[in-house]
Amino acid sequence: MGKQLDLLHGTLDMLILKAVSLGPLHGYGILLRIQQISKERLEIQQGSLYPALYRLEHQGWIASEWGDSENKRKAKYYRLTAAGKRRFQSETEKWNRMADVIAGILRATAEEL
Amino acid sequence: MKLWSRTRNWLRDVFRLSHLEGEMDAELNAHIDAFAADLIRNGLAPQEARRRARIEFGSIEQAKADCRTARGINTVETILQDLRYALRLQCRSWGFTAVSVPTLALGIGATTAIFSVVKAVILTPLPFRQPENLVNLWEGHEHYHRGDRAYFSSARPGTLFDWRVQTQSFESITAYRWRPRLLTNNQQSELVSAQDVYDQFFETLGTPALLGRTLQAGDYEPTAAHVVVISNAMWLQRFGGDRAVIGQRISLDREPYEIVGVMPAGFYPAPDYPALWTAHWADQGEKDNRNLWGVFALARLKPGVTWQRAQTELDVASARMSQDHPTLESVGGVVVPMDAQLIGSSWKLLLLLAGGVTLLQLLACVNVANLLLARAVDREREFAIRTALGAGRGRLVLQLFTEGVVFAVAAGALGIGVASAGTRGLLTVLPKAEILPRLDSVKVDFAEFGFVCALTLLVSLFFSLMPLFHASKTRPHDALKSAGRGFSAGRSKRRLGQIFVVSEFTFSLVLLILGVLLVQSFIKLQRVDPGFDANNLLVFHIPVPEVNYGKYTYGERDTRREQLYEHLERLLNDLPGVESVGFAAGLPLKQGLSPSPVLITGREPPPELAKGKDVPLQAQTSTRMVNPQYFHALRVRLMSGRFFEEGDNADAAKVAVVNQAFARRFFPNEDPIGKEVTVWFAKTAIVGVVADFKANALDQNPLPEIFWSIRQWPSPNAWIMVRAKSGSSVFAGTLRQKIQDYDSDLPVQELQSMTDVIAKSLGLKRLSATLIGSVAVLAILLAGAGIYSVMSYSVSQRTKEMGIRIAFGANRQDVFALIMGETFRLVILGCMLGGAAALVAGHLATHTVYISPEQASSLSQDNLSPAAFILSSLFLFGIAICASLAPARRALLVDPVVALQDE
Repeated sequence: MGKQLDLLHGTLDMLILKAVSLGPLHGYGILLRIQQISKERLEIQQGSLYPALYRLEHQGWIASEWGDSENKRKAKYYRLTAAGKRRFQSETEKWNRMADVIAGILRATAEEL
Repeated sequence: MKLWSRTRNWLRDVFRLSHLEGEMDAELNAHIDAFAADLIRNGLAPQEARRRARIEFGSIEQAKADCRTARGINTVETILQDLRYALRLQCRSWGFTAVSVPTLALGIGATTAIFSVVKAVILTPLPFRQPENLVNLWEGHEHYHRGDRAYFSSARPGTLFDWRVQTQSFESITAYRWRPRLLTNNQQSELVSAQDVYDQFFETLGTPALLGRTLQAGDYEPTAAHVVVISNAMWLQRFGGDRAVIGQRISLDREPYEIVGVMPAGFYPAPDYPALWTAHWADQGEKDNRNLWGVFALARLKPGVTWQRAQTELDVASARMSQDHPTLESVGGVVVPMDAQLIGSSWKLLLLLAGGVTLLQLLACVNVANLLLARAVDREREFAIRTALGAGRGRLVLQLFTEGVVFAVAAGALGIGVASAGTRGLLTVLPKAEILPRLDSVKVDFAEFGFVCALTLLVSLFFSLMPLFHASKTRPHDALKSAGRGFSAGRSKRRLGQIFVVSEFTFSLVLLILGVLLVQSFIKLQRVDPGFDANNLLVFHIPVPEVNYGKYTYGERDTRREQLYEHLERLLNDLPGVESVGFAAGLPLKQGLSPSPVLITGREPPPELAKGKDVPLQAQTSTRMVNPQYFHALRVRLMSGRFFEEGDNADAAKVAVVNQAFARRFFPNEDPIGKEVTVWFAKTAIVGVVADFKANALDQNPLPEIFWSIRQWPSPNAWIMVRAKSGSSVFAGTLRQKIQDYDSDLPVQELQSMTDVIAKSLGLKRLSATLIGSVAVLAILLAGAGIYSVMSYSVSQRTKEMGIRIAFGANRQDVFALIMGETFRLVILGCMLGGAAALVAGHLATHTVYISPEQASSLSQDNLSPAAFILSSLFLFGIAICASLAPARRALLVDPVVALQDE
């Protein structure tokens, strides 16, 4: 297990949207899924997850409802809304473009200029 | 859409705040449980697992706060918290709340009620097109008090048409004439009050009909079909608001009329309201007859012409007219703006009341400011501690703001109740004075209410925020130290309290003196001897239907009318228990003045008369037609000569009786008996002089008056007074029955006792005395409470100081003197300020309640009696002393040891 990376500022929302786009999850489940997808390479402050969830729900990108968890406990499940889906797509595109641009800049060598 | 769903989420969160909190707890706990379960699965002991899970999660409270912020409900939460705190605070200091909330509510309510009336009566424009251009025109003299109806004369139709030709200032000039009409409807007849209107009447006023149409040019032609426009009240009462009323026929004076229109409610904004309007055609004979009075002229000014300019033009025109036709006895014209005319002198009463309640509201605000301030000083320490613990400025402001709002909202809610009760109360007492028009449109004015509430809110917020100003000035540790170590109260805070005491004293003294002055003058008036005997005297009015008894024309005899009067006189005289029956064209204390110039045979006429204008009031007399028994019925004494006799009839020489004022004014050094005088073309010989009696108002010195015999000069209307023999009484029902038996079309109106007439003539003064008196009583209560609270607060702040003084050997009398001395100084200052203000206000008020300068002259001098000032000041002084006695006693009982150990 390599050293964990701190989350890049402003990317938590996107990761949450990605996590719930794969199916409804409760808060802890979202945390686990992100860690699982990132192969444990990302460090997420557990306390910061919930304000982000509340904010996204308030903005209407995710919706929540109470249900039973795997171990038969009550848990609040979040799922992606239609608006959230569109948002996630546009955010992903933006991110990819930005990542390309940044990567291009970082790759640039003296000869190319 | 997104905004909406967000707002919806937010609202749902706000309203389900506790639910949300519960959910949040459950969700975070579930997270920690799940995390711990995973850790257990990884081999940790359950207790250790939970501990680890909590530590890794971080601060749960912080996460919750962040969640709330994410939802935008943190502020709401804070406000709710402050609100709860504010309510708890109000409950804890219930004494404070119990005093200040009703105080403010009273002020808000009373002010709103009075200003609602002021707005409806004075400020709301009249319901006409461009009402500012409408004026009333009178024949009369401009030196009379403008706006006081009694001093003007109605116009003559001839003059009206002259004005139309001779002036340029008016867009149109029209007129109406009151005329009782016999309305017959399904065999039932009723005498209704109607107006005969000259052409352009409705065009001048410019109000369209509610249903149908108003009268048009064609309706005024002498040959036109009979049409009538009815009032809204009549439409509702007689026709049940049926829209099919247009085109229906009614019978007026036994002639068929077709209803062509219904006017909207409130169309005619006068206290007396006609039931219907019919068109009147003025023929040449009417225009030429310069003896025909009784039309009330209205005109619309051309745009841009002021009424002052119109007056100037009318003066010039009148002078020209009387030069061209010296026989017209032109007396000139007076232009009175219609709003001034309608409101008359009533605005003065309203102004007085408005001033009174404004003072009351100021008192209430000062009281509350004082209480808030006292509390603020007490809380200085609380705020210092909170600042020391790191509370931000904004947080404290928000809290104080919330407290202020809670306070003002409570006062406002209670104030609405007071305002509507007060408005209803005013509406039951104001109409009794019969002076205010448009009272039907009065309702609680919420704009006014909002304004007063906002002002109150501002004041209470300002004083609520007081501790903050202090807190920011004093560094926290100073405040803590000062409170802990027990310094005595700072000088500046006490100074503010002293200002409050002085201003409360001043405000309430002004109101008290005003109240005393008004009550005093009212009591004095009640004791005034009217000069006639009002006991055992029943009076009533009979409007005579023209259709049966002919149209009245001044100076022209109509046998039908004369016979009616004589017959009624006999009929009533024959009733058992009746001693005498008086007939007159008006009642004492209920009649207007109709002054006319006096010409004495053998003397030069007043020089002004020749020029056609401005005969001074001193050269005029009031006139009245009376029957021979008039003076007997009123029990007015004969001073010299004789009363009228039955022999003074149409065939005999024309005679007159004058009062002493007349004799004094026009025959100061001569015997008036046998002198010949001409008033209003009536040349008569004086045969008797009667004692003066109050004819116009109890507070007015008798003016010259000349009486003519009704047998020689028929009266336009009949006021009848029936004097019962002493020891017996005449029943109103019997009177009514007798007259109905004679002619069922004759209505008996305003049947009352003469003592009632006197009481009603004092209505305005009774009203102002009662209203200002009650405002003054409230003011005294408020001021008493205010002074008490300031003084006891001051003493409680100085307990420590007293303790020190006593510990250092001060006499207890000295301490008592110290406290009382403070009160004395403040109160004496308040007395001087209040006395000076009351002098000004009292001067204004006496001129307010008295209608005209010459009326005021008779009584107002002794009205500003020093006794009222001294007694009021002493009374308030006593209240102030009483209010500070208890605190001073408390200071006396200070035990130095306890005082210094305290805190």
